[in-house]
Amino acid sequence: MAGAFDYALAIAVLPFLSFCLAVGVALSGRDLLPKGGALPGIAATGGSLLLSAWVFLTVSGGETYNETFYTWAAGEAATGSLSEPLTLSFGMLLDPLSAMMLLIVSLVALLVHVFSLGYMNDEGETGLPRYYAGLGLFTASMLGFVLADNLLMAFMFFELVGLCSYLLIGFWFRREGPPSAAKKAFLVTRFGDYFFLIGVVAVFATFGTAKFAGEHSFPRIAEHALAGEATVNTFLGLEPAAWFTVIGLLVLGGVIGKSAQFPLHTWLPDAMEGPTPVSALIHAATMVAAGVYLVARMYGFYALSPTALAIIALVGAFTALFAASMGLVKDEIKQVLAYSTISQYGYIMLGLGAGGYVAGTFHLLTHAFFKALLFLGAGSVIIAMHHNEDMWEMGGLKERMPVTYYTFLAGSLALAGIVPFAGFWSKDEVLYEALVHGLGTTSGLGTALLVAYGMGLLAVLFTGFYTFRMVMLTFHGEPRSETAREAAEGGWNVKLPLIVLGILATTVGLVNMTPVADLTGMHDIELLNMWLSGAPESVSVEQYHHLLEEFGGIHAADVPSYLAGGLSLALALVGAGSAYVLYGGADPEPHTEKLGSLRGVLYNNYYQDEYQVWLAENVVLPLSKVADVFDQAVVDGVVNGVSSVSLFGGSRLKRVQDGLVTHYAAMLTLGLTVLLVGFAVYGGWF
Amino acid sequence: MVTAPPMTPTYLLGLTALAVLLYDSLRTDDGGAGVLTGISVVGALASLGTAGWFLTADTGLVAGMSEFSGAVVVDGMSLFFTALFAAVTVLVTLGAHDYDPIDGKRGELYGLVLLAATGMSVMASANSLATAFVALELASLPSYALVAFLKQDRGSTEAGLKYFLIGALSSAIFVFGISLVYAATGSLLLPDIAAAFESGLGERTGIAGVGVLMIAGGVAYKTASVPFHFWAPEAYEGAPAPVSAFLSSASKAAGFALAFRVFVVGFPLGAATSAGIDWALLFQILAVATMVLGNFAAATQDKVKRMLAYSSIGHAGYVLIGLAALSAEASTNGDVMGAAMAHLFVYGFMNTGAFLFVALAENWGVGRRFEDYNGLGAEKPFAAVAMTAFLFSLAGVPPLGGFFSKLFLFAGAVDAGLWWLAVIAVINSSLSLYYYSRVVRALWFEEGDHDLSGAPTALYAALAIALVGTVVLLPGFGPVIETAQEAATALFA
Repeated sequence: MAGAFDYALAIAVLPFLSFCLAVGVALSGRDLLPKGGALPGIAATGGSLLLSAWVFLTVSGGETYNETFYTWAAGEAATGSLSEPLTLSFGMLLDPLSAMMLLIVSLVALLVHVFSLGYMNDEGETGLPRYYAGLGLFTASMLGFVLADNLLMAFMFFELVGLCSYLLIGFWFRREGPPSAAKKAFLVTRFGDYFFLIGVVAVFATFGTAKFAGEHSFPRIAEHALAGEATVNTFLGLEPAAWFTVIGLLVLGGVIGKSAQFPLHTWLPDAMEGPTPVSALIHAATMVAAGVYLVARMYGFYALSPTALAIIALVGAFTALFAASMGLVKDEIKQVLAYSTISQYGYIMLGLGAGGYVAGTFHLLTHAFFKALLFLGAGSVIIAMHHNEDMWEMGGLKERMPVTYYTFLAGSLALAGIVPFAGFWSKDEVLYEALVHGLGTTSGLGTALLVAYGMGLLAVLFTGFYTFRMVMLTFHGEPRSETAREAAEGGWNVKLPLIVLGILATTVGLVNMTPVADLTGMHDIELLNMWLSGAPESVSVEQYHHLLEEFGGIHAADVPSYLAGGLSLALALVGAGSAYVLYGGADPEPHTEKLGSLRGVLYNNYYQDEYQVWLAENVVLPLSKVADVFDQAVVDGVVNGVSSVSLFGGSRLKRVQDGLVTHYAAMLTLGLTVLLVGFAVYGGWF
Repeated sequence: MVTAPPMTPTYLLGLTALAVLLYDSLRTDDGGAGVLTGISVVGALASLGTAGWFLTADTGLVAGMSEFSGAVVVDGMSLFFTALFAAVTVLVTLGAHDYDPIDGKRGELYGLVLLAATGMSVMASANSLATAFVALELASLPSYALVAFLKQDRGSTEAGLKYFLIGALSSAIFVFGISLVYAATGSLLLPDIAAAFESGLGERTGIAGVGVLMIAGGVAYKTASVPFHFWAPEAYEGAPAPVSAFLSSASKAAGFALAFRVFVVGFPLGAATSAGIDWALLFQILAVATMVLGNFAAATQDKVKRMLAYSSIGHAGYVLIGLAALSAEASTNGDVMGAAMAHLFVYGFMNTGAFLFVALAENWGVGRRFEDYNGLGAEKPFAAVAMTAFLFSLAGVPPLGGFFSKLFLFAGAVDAGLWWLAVIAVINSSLSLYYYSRVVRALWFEEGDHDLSGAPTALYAALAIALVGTVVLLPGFGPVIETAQEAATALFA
């Protein structure tokens, strides 16, 4: 009987078909599709969601799938000290992690398609087939990325995802901002992907395979190699452990770019130039998630390298704090959300780097829902405000848009980490993992984790503040503009996705209530932990735990989880409360002005863009000019020289053929004679 | 049970020639061009089919079968080349059907082409030097008449005369070489000559050496290799374009067929080298000289047909690698010679196709220079696409057939340890991309203004077949190279 796994490929293929349909119609130039292509997109993502749910149920029954279905290149002989020749293939890996991610992506994609009906169609946007084609291709690429069973296939879809992001951010290409933001997003992520590509090549060169799971997967071979049970190729004269760290960091380059981590985060705030549903889908729930998902996907590899873990944790924690501080002073609602996204992905990285595989994945899950909710809520506000995003022009929207307000509030409580909303449970677990592993690990990694914990904890305070500053300015007080006074809520296609996500943002955290479990001793309520433990051995939680202890040297100290949870909750409440006090009045003051020059630094994002532009103009450009001079003078010089010599030689040779047959006969005979004499002497014939 | 004689493909070519001549002399009206083309194409196709059938069916012929007291032999290689000659004959006769300058004289042209093809087929089967000489003349004499076919055209008659004079000189050298080898070994049969080489030549080494070198000269003439190439640029340029296609593809391949058998079977390399007659070294020198001269001279031409003529010399240089990279008792011998055969096979399609496009251009009357082809791509896209594919395939651009045959050939040279020869070949090959793409640029990227007549059906059909041959050899290259290498390996057994 055909099971869910036989149809799993259709999860990615369905949105691709919707893309093809939309492109076909867009090329025909006629308005053939109802709703500009939204309905095929909704049908396709709906189908993907159903299939994902089926796969999810099948996986929860204990079945997993890890097969290669197409090998498109295979080496003939093994290289170096490898035992098997290299193969490049496509395949699917369906385990608890990917099944969960499939569900998240297809659900958010479906809701975003529905929301787009309200945001794009009802607003009378043009170019809708192009928009829905982009959404369809994006969804297909992201789902393909999640399904991938090896690093190379993942890389290909990773790049496709980046392309779609470019296309969608630049959707309004006739305006000034979007094309430039799209280019920036493309170039900055490409910078990271460059390292990723080298990493992929390094993985192939080192292990001969890039499969994620199974006995012949590269994390497994790496583990055996460190235990001295397998041989791999290493380069640069490094020991296997050091070389694995190098590979891990190369791949991490792609992660940092895609997941908008410091210092490659600068593209994400600009990417808010795209349509808001796109921001919700791409820059909150999925594409940015691709980076951290990759870390989780190959966690068995990162767990082997304490150095890589420490870097992941530190980068994550620093990004969390750094982005949160910038979010404090922003005036536009989507900018606040953009910095909160960067900050939250920092938390996920911190969780993964701190050895909290479940914690990081958990925060990935909850964040996908509450951040999609917040973006769609912001979209709803932006519709009502006629595309004015400045929070100082809003105010008092609470009464006029109740559905948006309450769902947005649920999302904000989740973001700020207030019990019992989703973000509390997951963020708390991330911080808890960082704390116990920081205390329990004796090496430098322990210190690094404690530093990271401190930064993460401070960021909680900031998060609570900027979140409620945003809520207060947008929804509370008196309306501060004419549009805000006349704001009205959108139709069902706006409200329905908000309600669905609102419920999820409120409740999804309940799947892994570790503090409650510790307090009551009922560990069977940690559903996510159990779910991820059901994976095949090579990618299971137990395996990662074992690797972290044996190779990462990570051990947990005994700290009650409710104490750590209480601390972070208190900080979040302080942050949120002070925002309420400062901005809760009928006509709030712009208090951040009092920060003086510090506000300028924060508002200008620590001049990150400026220094990157400076690097491009004063370092890269001169180098490129030198390379250009080299190319023009030396490379082209050699090429031109060769061609002039060839042509000169050719014209000489041409003159030999002078048209006189007597000359030909003479030269022929002469040539034969030379050969005869030469060979007679050489061969000693006479 | 009636068994078809092993030489059936050759007989079919000869009989078709006679049938064409018979019909041509009996017909009373001026028409009948369709019937003549029909007879030629059907006869050549029958020969091609029989050769293909003998090659693939389990007839035992691939292993080799001697006929006429060992004067000829039918084996995998002879069948492979006969199939190639028949295929080129199909393309050329089909293409010539619409070639206006030969109106009213098609019977003679087809008859001569078919007789030459018969001679070439016998060349591929020749197992004795006497047969080789007779076959060479049977192939050459119609060729002289074919080049001079346009009696009113000064270029054509001049080229024919030059071709004949150089041919006569070369034939004399060839037959002189045969007589010397006979003097040294006492036989004209290749296996007997080989036996004499193996048992030692003693005092007669010098005589045999001069003979071998002179036979190599005769072969070099037929393959248009340096220094016997002088006839080729003028003959190809002066001849009617379908004849140029025939000579540069089939005739060249026939020369190689003869060379492969005579040198590999008749003058075993181990014995020859130890006697001081290192003919592999000779072919290395000829290969380098031929490819360098052909490609460099082609780069500076300004007429398309003459460029193709020189490029044809360059390709002879590549194929010579098939002989140059041989060494005594090496396991790579069959592979590299098979690759050379496969390159000739692919060349038979792409080069014939390119010359047929020139025939088409002559029919349209657009002129002979590169710039005269400007803008043809916009006006006749199919023909221009086909020409582009032929040229890129000739240059060895992937994924066309010419890329794979060159790849196997150069890789064979590397495997045989002659990496320097492969490097020179690759350099030449990349230079060739320069002059081939000049035509492509003219076709597609330059503006031009022409008043072109229609698209002649038969010529277009011939272009289409050649295009299919060039492109389909991409997935179909496996069988071709396997057959060729199997046939070549059998020679060394």
